[in-house]
Amino acid sequence: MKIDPNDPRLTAYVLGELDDAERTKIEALLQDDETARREIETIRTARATITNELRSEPCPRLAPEQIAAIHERAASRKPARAPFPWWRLLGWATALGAATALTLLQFRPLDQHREKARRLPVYTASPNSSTVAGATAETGHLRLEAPPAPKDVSGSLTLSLNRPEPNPPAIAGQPGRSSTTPQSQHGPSMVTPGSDASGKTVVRANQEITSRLVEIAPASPAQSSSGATLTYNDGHAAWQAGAVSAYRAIGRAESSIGQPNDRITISRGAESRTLPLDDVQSLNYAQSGNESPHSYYDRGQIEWDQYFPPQTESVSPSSPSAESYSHSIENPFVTVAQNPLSTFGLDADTASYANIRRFLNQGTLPPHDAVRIEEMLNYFSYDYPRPHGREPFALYAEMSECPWNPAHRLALIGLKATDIASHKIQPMNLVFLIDVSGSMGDQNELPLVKQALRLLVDQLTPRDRVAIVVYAGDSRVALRSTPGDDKTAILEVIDSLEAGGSTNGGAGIQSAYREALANFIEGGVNRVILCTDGDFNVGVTDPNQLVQMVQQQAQSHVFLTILGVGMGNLKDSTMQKLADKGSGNYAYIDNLDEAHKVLVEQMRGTLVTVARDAKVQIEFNPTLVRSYRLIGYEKRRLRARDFNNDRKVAGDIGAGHTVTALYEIVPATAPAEPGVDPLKYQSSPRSAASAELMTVKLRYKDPEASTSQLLTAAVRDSGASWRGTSSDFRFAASVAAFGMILRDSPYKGASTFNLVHELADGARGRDENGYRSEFISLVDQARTLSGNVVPDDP
Amino acid sequence: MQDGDEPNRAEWIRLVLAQQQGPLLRYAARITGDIERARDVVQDTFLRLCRERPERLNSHLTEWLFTVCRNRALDVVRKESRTRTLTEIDLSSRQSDEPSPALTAERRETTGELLQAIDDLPANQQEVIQLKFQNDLSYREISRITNLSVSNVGFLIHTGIKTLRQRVRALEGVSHED
Repeated sequence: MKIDPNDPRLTAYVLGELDDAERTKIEALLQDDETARREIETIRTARATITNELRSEPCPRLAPEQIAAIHERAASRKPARAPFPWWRLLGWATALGAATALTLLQFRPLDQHREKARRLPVYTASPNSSTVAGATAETGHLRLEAPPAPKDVSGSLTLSLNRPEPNPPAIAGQPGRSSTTPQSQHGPSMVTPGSDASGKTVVRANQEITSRLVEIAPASPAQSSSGATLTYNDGHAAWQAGAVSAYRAIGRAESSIGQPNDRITISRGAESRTLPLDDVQSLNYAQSGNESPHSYYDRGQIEWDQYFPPQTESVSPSSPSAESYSHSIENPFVTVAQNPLSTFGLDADTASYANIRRFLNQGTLPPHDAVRIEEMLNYFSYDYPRPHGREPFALYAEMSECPWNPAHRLALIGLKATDIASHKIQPMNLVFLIDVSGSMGDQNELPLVKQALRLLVDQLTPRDRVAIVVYAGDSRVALRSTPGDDKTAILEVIDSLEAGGSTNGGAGIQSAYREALANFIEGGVNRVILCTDGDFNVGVTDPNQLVQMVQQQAQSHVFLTILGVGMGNLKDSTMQKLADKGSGNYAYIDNLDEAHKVLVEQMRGTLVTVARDAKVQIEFNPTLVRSYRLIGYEKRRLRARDFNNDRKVAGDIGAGHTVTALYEIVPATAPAEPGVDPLKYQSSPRSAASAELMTVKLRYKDPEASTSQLLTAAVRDSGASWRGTSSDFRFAASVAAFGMILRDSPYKGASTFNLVHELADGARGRDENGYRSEFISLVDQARTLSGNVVPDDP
Repeated sequence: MQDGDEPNRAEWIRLVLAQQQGPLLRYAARITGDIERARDVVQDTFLRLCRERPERLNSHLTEWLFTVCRNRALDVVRKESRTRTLTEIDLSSRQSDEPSPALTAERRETTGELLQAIDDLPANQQEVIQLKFQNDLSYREISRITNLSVSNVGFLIHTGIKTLRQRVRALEGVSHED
């Protein structure tokens, strides 16, 4: 049976508005209805474009006097009805079951919401909720559960924020502000969820189960401070709910009830963090949106900024203009008892370091969110042992005391990818996709791109092919695929490029992929090299939609390399997302030397992928490790179960790449953290016999394979002192410390620019290309800059 | 304890205001066709919110705000055109009304063909499309806000998208281009 393309159910399906039964029906019909499937795709595209367009409509504001009038009324006016201690009722109601919860309806002000209220979440108080006002429990946690719902309430969901009140969220980062939390003003009995400092939770349930909205609103008056971070302490591990400079973290919960994938995702812009339902003790970061063709929780997410007025966006006073960085919260310390597994996708991108260098060389400190420590670490090459035989990776680990916190240990996990001799490189089919819009006119942009590409073209052989697609207001193929030895023709086109017009990155990408596919080299390197400042300012600008397309293309083995250039309107977040999701890599080119590094010295690493979807999972031994913190990789965190899920996309590793991750480790022997009682039952000596501190597991796929391989290594702490460490270890530690200082991280401990300088200076190693020396001079520059924050009059 | 509630509630209003004034203003502006009138409408909406108790609105706050805002906006539009009562059906013919210069100017800078095409849709389609795509409300919520049936909402959105696809080439999928 065919579906009429005019059937509104198709739209409802795409929008997630069908109930389970209808959706199943439609999906069955779609199975063998090519036309309808295309229609679905078209509607999806339309949805993304319309959403994007409407959300970019200017967001007007009330006049200041109107706002003042509202605040005045809000402050003066008593609510119409006397407050009712409904949460107690709710506590009983929950205890008595869902049917009783319906009695609450009579307290709802609007009858029309009756049905919704029934489907919607209730707040579940803690088991001792009847004594809520006097509760002294130290912990609160977020719990998402499917209630014992009546049958007709399909897909109903309860989100409970179970948070006895005496545990206010500690507000870190702005110590002076926290004195205004409602707790401190009004004592411990404030449990009104609507404005509870510990968090308000609202679930808007859509018909479709996979699309639910959760708003977590720590309505704590941190509004005055930009960049304040709300830290929730759930009693086990502090997790940060968001650097909410305004008021609230807003997220989207994506959930299929009772499915293994249930989760809450909290997102801000391109970034999202996911809280799995069965693992509520930790808030995990995850790159969402690439699990299955039907999940779209990466799309349609709330535009965070829409809810955060512009003044909250002052990431840093040094952020000059329209540059955009997605916000990230650093990984916290997590206890091994609660989270024995730490899982993340590998990332060999280096863009953040080059971008930081650009800022420092311009005389400003980089915005905090532009600092991604893993990309700083991976900018440098480390002399890890090379892999033997046919394995594409070798693992390396080293451990010593943590230079910024002597009570802790620092563990380095290094990975070296196999290199490929130049003469063994497969033939390459490259398409240069070059942004020639007006914004690229600057000397550091198009002219630099042209020089960079010349470097690359010089290395091409007759077996290689190059095509050039340019885009601005529209796109055109400037050079049809041409053999690599026809350098005159290629360089002529490169030299003739000029900037002008607006940008439509979407259309350009489409033509480039077409060109790449038309000249596909079986078993070769097939790659689109996008050179842009990432400012796709006209047309298909929805990053999610671009990501989707790039992902599709990766399935046909055409991969993406992004060379970011420019300043002022660099859209770092867009480019990072494209490269992350699209089986690609992203390098920021700030000068010709960097172009040389990326496209000549490390050309094979940049262009030849030796492994895909590389993920690391580390299991810590609870008898030796109390807690740990992964430094960096915030955007790469995965859920434990994603490690063995080959459908979960992760990073690509190029030939000869080294990847480095650092963990700061709190040994089990360290004194207990203040405020947390020692656990009574968790320290059972089941694995006491083992002297292994942790086990490192690595999963990857060969570039053409769809199933993953596993490498495992156990790591012991030999108790090495600082003196016994390798220069690579000390250098990596100094890079991490530098990153934490630049981020103004709460975890930076005793890190100072001086310490970083000292560490790095003693760890230059061979430094053949002078990158480590350059790092040291950047550290000095940053030290000078931060010292000059207060202008000194002569 | 009740007294302690007050500053907390003011804080809640502040929060909702910061978050929702933009979306509500865009919505009201589309109904009234005028950003200044929209500002009055949204201010009224928030003044009414001050009378409510937060916990009563928790689970349907957005819906409540849009409902109140819509009713206020329609009131304003009705008052402005004293000669006749503007009903839902009348609303759909409002597309011929010129939007105010202020609104148009604000638009012109950032938007292209698509927003123009949305503006050209019948008002009831505009409205549901705005609620769905700009504000991410469900069919059911939209149905309650607009007093249309859920299936009617679905039909209007479906039809609206169809029309937009015909008028705006960029909306046709990747596979269809060229």
